[in-house]
Amino acid sequence: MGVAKFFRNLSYDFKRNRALLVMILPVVVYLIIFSYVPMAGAVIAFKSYNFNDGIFGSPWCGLNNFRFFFMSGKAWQVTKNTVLYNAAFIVTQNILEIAAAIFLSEIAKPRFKKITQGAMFLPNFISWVVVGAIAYNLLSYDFGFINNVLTSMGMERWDVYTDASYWPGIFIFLSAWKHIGYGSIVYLAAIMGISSEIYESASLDGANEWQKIRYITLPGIKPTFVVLLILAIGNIFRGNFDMFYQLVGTNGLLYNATDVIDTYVFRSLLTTYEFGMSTAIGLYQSVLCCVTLLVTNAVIRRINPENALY
Amino acid sequence: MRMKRNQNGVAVSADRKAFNFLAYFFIIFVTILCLLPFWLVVIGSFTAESEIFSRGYSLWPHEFSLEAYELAFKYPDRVFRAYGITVSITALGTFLSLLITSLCGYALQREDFKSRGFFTMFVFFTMLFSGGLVPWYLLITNYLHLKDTYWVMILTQLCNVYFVILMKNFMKTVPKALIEAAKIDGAGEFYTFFRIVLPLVKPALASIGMFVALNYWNEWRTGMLFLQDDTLFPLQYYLYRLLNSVEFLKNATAEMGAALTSIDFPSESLKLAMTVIATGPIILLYPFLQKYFVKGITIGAVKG
Amino acid sequence: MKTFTRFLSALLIALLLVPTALVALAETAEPTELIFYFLGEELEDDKVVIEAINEKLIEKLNCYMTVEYIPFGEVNTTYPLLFASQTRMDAVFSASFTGYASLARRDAYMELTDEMLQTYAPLTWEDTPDSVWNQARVDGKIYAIPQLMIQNIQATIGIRGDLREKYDLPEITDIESLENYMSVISENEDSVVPLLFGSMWTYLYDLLMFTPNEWQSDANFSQLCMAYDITDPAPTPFCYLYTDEYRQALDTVYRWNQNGWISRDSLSNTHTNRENMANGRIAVMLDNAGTINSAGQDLLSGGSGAYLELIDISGDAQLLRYAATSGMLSIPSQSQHPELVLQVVDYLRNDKEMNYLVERGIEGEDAQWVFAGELNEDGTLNENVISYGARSSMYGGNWICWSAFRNWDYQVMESEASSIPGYREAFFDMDSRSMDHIMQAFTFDSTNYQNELAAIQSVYDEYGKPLNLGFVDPATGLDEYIAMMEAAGLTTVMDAYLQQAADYLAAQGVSAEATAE
Repeated sequence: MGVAKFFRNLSYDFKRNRALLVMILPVVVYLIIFSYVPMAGAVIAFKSYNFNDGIFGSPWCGLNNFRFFFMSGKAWQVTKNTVLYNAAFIVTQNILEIAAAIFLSEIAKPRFKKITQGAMFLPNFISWVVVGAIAYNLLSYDFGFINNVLTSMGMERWDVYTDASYWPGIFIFLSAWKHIGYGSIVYLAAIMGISSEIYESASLDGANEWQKIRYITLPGIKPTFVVLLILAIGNIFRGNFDMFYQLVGTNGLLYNATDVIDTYVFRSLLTTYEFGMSTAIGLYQSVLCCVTLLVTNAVIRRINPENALY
Repeated sequence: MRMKRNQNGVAVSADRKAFNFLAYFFIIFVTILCLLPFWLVVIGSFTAESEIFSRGYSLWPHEFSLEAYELAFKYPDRVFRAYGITVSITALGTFLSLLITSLCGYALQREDFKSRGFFTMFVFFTMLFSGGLVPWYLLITNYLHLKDTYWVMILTQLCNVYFVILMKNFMKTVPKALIEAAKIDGAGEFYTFFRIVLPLVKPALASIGMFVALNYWNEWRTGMLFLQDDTLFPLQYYLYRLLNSVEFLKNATAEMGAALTSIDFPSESLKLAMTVIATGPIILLYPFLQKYFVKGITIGAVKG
Repeated sequence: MKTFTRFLSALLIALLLVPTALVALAETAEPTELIFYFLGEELEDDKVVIEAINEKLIEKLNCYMTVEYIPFGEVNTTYPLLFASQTRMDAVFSASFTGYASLARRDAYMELTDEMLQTYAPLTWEDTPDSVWNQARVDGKIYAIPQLMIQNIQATIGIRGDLREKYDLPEITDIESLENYMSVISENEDSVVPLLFGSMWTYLYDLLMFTPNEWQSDANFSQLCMAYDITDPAPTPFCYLYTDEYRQALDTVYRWNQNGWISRDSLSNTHTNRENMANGRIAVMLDNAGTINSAGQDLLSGGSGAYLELIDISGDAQLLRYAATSGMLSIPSQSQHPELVLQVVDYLRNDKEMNYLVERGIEGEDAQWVFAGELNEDGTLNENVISYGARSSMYGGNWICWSAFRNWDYQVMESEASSIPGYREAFFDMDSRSMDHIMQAFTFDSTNYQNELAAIQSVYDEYGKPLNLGFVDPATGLDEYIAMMEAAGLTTVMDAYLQQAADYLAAQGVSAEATAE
């Protein structure tokens, strides 16, 4: 995309599509002020910050702020954890959300639908702090509800807080649980966008429910799925800090299986007060996300240009 | 055996039955999983603190207690003011946010809009890169002077790129022929957008509006960073501060000269009561949006 | 001409009036607002007390304070941002745990020169011993006014005395009898575990390693595991990870853990000892004496018959005086009124009436008085006891937010009635064994080692804590831990640390080599 072409397009739109330019204006202005201007401050990642000189006046320090992340030998581990967790979340969440959306769209009883759909939103209001408190209350080794039940039945206690192997499952479950109400709504809205005539004519042709899902609904929500996928991949190197931190906290025995970039950086920098270092790792995540996204988009464009983001 | 008939009087086939069984089973299962923890939270919030410690959560309180709510509503005027602020922020913010998001999303998917590729990238790029907390904080406090203002709560959340992209995608489902036809009839772009396009994408507006509203409703970090004036505190931040001070009180150790504070501050049940208090009103919003999630109302209705 | 004279006379009158007007203006000048940022939470009665303080401040110094609070949870987010954004602040809470030294080195705080302090806070300057000022020094310069208080932060043991009686166990006098107690509890009590740690697990090592060996760790950089011998007037610091004493302590803790005396929840628990004790989850708590006393009061007021005993097993070991840097007041670089702030501190800290107001609130039956008894000049207790005011828990003046105004001359001590068995004896005994040490004033300059520190911090969290709480067998775990620490740069930082410490001692006129003979 050359600069010349950009100006040619812009001048064309300025003549022919002025109204459309006005339509995007609020968002563009907003993003320039709230996103692009502070982006310049990302130079702090390459600076040794002091309060007197501020962001731009502080001395440069090259890549020094990135070093700590690679020194402890954990960079690969936490990066891998972040990506694997996010990939697992993307897969499970999308499957469950699509299933919920299809089922909900097919359920005829309005009151049942209202209640169930409303209920699915409830986890959204339970903050991760509270989820963490509930989890500790249920799973604690000596005082947990579950372990009390297990021992009263003469069974072995479940040692969740010292055994990392339980946690990937717990996190996958919790993230799906938290998001299903939210996510299924998007797919539901997408299903709503499919013309009901198509379903009617399919019924007349004798298609059964499974066939209608297979040949009408799923293709109908595919564009939405792809967009959500691209958006998710755009964040695949960013971990859900609140979830991981509120559930694992400072339990070092679980870090191998539960530490993501965001929690790792948070803990490492808790006592250093170095603004540059956290920004540096933010940049590291951005660059990786950017690369992954470019590749994904290229692949999607090759398969079906319609679905690509740009 | 009499055959069951649905509303249209069409016989219910076997695969429909199987499908229905699966659908109901799945939905009920998920609903229980979502309801149960919330039920524990509600019951826990009405349980005495000591009981939460000794028995853990239970499905029914053995020792009913309102202490957490008494604490939360100790200053009813402050709580209601915080409610008021949250409601107004959510309403105004959601309206403005939906407006600019849908305008932008619509324009970005118009195929005759030649710069759409550039501007899509322009928008999307901000999701990938950011300057981090410090520059953003400085911009808002020192340059925009939004610290301790009502507007900071609205503006920091106003435009979520994620929703712009999602909206753009939903806008694609509007038949191009309709827009063309409006053009031929001499309708202006804005007229077409507000009168023809928006009514067609109501489900998208409802779902994205729901997200935006939830984000505004649940936001407390902005308050933490930018609000000192307690008359501006939105509900979630008010509750966050309350919990903080209770934990502070509870754990303030009697170093030399300190008062022996009572341990009786119900911080565990307060956490739960906070959830209940903060969930209340917004969950009532849901049924109003629900009518937009009925299959096939949109395109069919217009064509008919 | 006439107009000109009229103009001239008018001008003359005006010129004559100006100074009078100025004088009049000065007399009625608006009082200056001083913005204080405190760490902590606003409590119900804070406003009332601050209003009362302000009345006096306006009278005396023509200024008043506006207090803003930074919640505890925001020490790592909001706190440094206030400096970055040059937020209007005239004074701010600072402490070692808010990154005092590190922020001072990056120009967040104003240097308080000796002249400034002598001129504007003369009483404070006189009253505060050099050893306390020195603790607040960063690279030789003072950036904060440290608190003055008598405080024991050493680890003591609190045990459930009722359970000891129930099983007819002897009193706890040493680690062995403690182990015996824990084993009986662990075997016989189902709903109680002996120990459950949380964030305050470090008391375990005070008890098992530091105090018995008369060592002190560097609390500013606990992740570096550096310590020194407090009986040595010019010690060479060392990293305790390599010592036999540490290995022995680890073995002990590992055994405790394997015996089930340390709850498996210790790595995830976020409740404090006090909470867990009050709710009957634990039988033993390792904590400072004040906290154990509070927990004991909680149990007594619970009325279940449970009670706590406080035991200090440190014998006659030398102890270090409290850390003055755990609660201080700094003046941010951006402050417009540093002199006035110093005057305010001097006034509130040294005027007895004002100090009572600040630390205890307003006197009266319904008031905030939190008061039990007062220490005499000689450190003994004046039993002139006043009970707690009805609103004593509504005002936070005695807590950390106001710590820079603490003055040990006016400090209060729990009365006999509000002390659990063993508390007061232990308190005064430990105080009598406390001393200052030259190394308390040494602050490692970590500016060039921030990366190493961050990496070491993460190893300390991930490998150190589970090992320290006995979840990992030290036979293999310790070597792995040390290897990870070294990979994260421990050796480099340690060399720098030792070099700086030696330079510091040399600058103080003592040298490690000379006294080591």
